[in-house]
Amino acid sequence: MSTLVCSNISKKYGDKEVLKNVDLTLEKGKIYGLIGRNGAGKTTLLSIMSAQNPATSGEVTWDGERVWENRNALNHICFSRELVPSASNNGVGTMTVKEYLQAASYYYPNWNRELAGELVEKFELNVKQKITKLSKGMLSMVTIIVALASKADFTFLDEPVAGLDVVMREYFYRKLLEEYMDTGRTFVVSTHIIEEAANVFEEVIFVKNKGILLKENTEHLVERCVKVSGLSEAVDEATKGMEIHQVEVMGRSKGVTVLLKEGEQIAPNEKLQLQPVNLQNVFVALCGLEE
Amino acid sequence: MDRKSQSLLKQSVMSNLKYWGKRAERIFAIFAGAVIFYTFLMSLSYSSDGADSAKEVARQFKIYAVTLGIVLPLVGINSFGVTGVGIAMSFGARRSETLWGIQLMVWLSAIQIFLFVAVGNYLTGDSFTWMKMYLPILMMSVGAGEFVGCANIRFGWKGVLGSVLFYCVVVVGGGILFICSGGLSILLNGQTGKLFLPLLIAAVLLCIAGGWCWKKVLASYEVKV
Repeated sequence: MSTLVCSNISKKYGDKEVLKNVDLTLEKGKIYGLIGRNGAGKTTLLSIMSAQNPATSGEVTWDGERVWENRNALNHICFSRELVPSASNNGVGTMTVKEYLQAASYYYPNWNRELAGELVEKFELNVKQKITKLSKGMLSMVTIIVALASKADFTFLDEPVAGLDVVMREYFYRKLLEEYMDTGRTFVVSTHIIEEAANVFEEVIFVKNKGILLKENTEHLVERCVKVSGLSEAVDEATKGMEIHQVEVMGRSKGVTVLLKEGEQIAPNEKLQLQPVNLQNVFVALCGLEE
Repeated sequence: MDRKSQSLLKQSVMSNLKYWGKRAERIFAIFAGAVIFYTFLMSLSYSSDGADSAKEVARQFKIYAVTLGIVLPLVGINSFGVTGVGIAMSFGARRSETLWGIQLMVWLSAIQIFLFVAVGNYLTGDSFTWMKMYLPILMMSVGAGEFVGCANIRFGWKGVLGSVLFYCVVVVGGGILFICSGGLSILLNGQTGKLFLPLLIAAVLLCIAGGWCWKKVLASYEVKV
């Protein structure tokens, strides 16, 4: 089974450290959700994994081969970036959609022209339009087309649904699942719209404090996270020694989100309320503001 | 080289040819279009008919081809080269591949410009020596363009401004040095052959330095598209 491995990756911009000693292994045939707050280093991590940006230290390997400057490895990786046509010097703004997709087809050896055409039609994109004239949603459509049509084994999408309406978002997730089922490709989707994508992610990767906070099966993570509320004393007693997050105190009542470890459980009683939480709640509990 | 390496090399060459080749074509199209447009515009003012008029048009054609031929590599590398780097790399092009791609674009457009100027030279009936002298000058423009492009990537518009100013100083300084060192008298005496080799060596060195500069800049380039 092919894997993409990050070993001890660190990245600094001047004095600012964005990633520190990151170890991460991506297996083929999974859809990963890459979740983190703004500026957590998600895009930087994906850029380094696809050799678009150099790491300050550490290395990325694909099936044991170093990815950096390796055409063979890069043929299996696609990082379809969020397009920012207004940024200076990037060149995207001067191109039409057709030219941009054509340029992509030159570099991806398994580029699927039919799929690209089908998606252009579905998204109702005018290929003659300049990229700089596209709306945010349309820019997302272009990045989705590149990602899916590249047919790369490891495909990264950075905020693919930003600006898309709900119909197109649903279409995207359906198409992503179709592609995943048909080809067994690996997708890493970085998004802030967590709950909508939660069912699609087989595993989630939380990025926090310059590193990977956790990488876990989505269902398993949600199952082992529970919100406990009730009288403060009862909550404290029930959750003693457990991993507690997001404490909310209101008078004599208290609510905490608990991340249960293997074998741990909270016995329900009349003084406590146990509520399941969704992926978004888990993320907020683990990566939210510390007060 | 095994079969897999050969196929990967072929893939690199083909993607570069398609992507950067297309950009070279655009540089040339802009150049040729501008030369023809200006020549046509100027030819409208000629009232006389016949051979004199045709000769004058040919002369104008050559003047514009020569002038724009020197300016275009400088501008072209900056606009088509710099803006092409991020896109190519975001599609998985390696840095070394991109370096060769830029060189392909630069030299493909320079060759086309040279041939176009050669047509102008043929039309005016000037000697081949003239074209021989134009070669190192065109190459110098390419080399300078490579520096401007690198400065743009590294320092943004300040880099472009600084390097263009530096380029102007070098051109003016070089001109003064050329006159003071007796180069002008050699030129006026029609002994251009003596200048060709030093100019060519200087041009080759400048281009090598420009290429090296690109290599350095691309090694640490961060894709932002």
